[in-house]
Amino acid sequence: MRAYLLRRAGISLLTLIIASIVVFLGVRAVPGSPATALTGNTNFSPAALAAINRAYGLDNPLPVQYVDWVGQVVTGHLGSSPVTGMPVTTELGNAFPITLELTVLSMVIALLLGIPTGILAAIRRGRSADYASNAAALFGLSIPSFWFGIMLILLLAVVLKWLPASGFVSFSVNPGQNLAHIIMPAFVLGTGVAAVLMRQTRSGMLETLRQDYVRTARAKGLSEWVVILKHSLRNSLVTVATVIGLQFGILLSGVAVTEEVFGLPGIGQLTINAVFQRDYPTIQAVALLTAVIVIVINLLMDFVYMVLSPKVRLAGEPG
Amino acid sequence: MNFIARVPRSLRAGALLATGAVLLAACSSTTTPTKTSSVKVQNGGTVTVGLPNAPTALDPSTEGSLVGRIIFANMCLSLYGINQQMAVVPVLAADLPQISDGGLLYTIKLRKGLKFNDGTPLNAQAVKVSLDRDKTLPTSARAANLKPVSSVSVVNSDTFQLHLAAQDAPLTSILAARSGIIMSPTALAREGTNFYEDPVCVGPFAFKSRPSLDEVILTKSKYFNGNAAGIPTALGGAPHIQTLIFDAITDPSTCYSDLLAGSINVAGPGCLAPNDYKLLTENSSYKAQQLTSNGYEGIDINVTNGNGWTKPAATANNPLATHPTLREALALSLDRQTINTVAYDGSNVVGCGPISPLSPYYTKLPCPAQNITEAKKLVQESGVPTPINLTLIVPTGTVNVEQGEIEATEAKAAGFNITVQPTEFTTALATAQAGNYQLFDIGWSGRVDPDQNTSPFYTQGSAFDYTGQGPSSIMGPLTQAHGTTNVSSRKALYFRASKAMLQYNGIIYLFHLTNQIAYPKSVVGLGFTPDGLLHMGSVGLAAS
Repeated sequence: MRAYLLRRAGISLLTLIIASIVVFLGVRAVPGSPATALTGNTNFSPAALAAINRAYGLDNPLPVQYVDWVGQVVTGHLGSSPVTGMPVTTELGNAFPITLELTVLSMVIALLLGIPTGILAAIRRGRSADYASNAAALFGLSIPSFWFGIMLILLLAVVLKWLPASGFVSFSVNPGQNLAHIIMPAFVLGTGVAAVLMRQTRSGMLETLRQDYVRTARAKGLSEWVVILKHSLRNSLVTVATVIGLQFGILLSGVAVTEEVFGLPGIGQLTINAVFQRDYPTIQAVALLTAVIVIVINLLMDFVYMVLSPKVRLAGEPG
Repeated sequence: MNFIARVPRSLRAGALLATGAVLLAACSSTTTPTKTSSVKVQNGGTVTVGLPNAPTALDPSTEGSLVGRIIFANMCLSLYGINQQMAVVPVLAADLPQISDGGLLYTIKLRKGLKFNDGTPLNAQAVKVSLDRDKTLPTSARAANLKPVSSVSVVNSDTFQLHLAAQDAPLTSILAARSGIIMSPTALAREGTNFYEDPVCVGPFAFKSRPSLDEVILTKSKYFNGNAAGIPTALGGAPHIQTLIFDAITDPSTCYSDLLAGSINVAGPGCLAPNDYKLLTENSSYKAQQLTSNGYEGIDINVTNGNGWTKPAATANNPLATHPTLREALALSLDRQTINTVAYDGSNVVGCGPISPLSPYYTKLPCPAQNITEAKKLVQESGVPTPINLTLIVPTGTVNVEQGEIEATEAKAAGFNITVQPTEFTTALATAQAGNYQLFDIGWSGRVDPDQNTSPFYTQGSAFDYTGQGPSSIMGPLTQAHGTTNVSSRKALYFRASKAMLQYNGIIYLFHLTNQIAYPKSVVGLGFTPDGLLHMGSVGLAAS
């Protein structure tokens, strides 16, 4: 186990380094700099632009810029945005909790919708419940999230005025308003993920329901409920857990389109704005954060496999 | 087996809880403004304004976005402001500047009794500190505009002087913009370059917080007494509301639905798409206002920006650079009214010069009508083989691409084969500044003084000069106009320059842009001026 952890830590560090270099060079390969973006509406003099570049170290050679940045990151400083002047940690600190809340709520909705529907479709295979579940999954997979979001806004906010159309209120400020603002975007994202989970759960359940041990469990007189949930579902969750982990990582990296439609100032919006404004420190910080999120989630999922699957547990490492 | 009937109690309880939470959330949704024609205004309340994007750091010395100006107009008043007739009027200053010594000395008196939003009195010393910062801060975006001011001196507690090295006609109007914002010296001493974290100025609202990049929250000022001090109510006021929120909404459809849903009370300039604005003009529950701005939309042609803005002028690699008649042919192939109607729902004002019709320096310039026959003739006479292949860079966005496609279609009839290249905005700027383009659809938001809408766009070494150094027929009258404060002389000079621009066609001006806003009729007292600024100092919500 220790060897496994050390190996994973080493690979994770290497991944982070490669990701940081790729992003660092990638943003600088795009035409335009932070100074260019600032000249969009203000006629900065060449001297002022040079001062801006100097203030943010952008006039240094690329290797020096990279080393400076890594040095800052290691000491917990992510730099300041040349566009807003704010520390990047402040920007991330404002945006990340919003995306985290959206992600968690979306996943809860996805799990509540996707897994029961998948179970139902599997145990009612070939019947109307199966067809209905598959149709719902097809809807969730096919409908673009931005269109679905706009339709929900039109119905629930504009016509019925049940929910606010956009924006965000922090939970600590007003829990009711917080839920009111986040429920629609969470539902939009959650239904998309639910469709994937439903298909995966159904497929996994169909596989495990055919197994000998399930037949044995029935023969022993166990209730159908115990057979489905304890024996069949648990073993089919290994693949479902993989999907959950992947989707969690995708959502946590910021779903820009949904955040834009619903006016949520999360990581997705922050990233889009940073790219348009060539806000190098923010782009790099978000990329680093995304890489860390994916690494952590992969690690967590490995341990979830160990919990779910005795085979993996006995092998001593997730594989 | 009936699976549903066997759902455990714990799951049923959970489902009920979730349903209840959703219903609770629905019941606590935001309150929609009351639709009433009553003029009685309630005290207190919150007004939320939708803006098309987020401001940069809220430091008047460095802030460079359009939306930042709108926010500052409500929490950081300038020495001067613009009224509905586009005239410069005193705001923090008591009068227009007394200009003496051949235009080299500006003496300005301040209104008495004004305080910054931290209680510090506004006086001449505070003005000096603020203007000196604007001039000397290395990252200042105001330094270029204040360059003509060699020093600021204090005469007495409410009078200061600006000493100029040379006459500079735009200076008073520059002091009506961000360069004229006076920052609290107490806050500057405390925050330094972090002033943006807690900006303190003179205004009907004070900065409260910026919980995210997209949201700025202001509260009613405890110290502002603009009415008593004599500040025009339209530009100062005494707020009825307690809280003013500015929200960045980058998607125009979202802005429209937010307005209808009541999530925002005002759709600010640039928030709405032209077709949504049009729908609101037909909706009796809303007030839709449109004002011609100082800005314009046009096509920049790379003539002498062959090597980029930081290098000396050089002829561009562009058949239109070496053949002026081809530029004229391109201009003649375009129907401005069609472009405006199809791409912008007719929301702009057709024009062929950079000076707004509302400006006191404007003289009407007849725009040449579309003339394909003449355009074809000029193309033939140029000797350049047709079709003439050109690339037109347009910023990404439905309306921009639509505009480009219409221009390409119209120009085709004259022998131009234009490929429309949608390009992300900053990339487009970088490409144009580097001189690596032929045609570029770009607008300008506009400033009050015509010098700022003309000179930077024809002066090599300016970040705005995509077309390259202008000829003497343009630069001559512009330079003269810059150096005199006589309004009628300047008006004549700008007319001469505009005619030369129309002949030169380095920029094919298409129309004067308009600013559009909309709000429900329950919002009263909102001020909106031709410089595109919203003045919320007197705004209130009608009492139900």
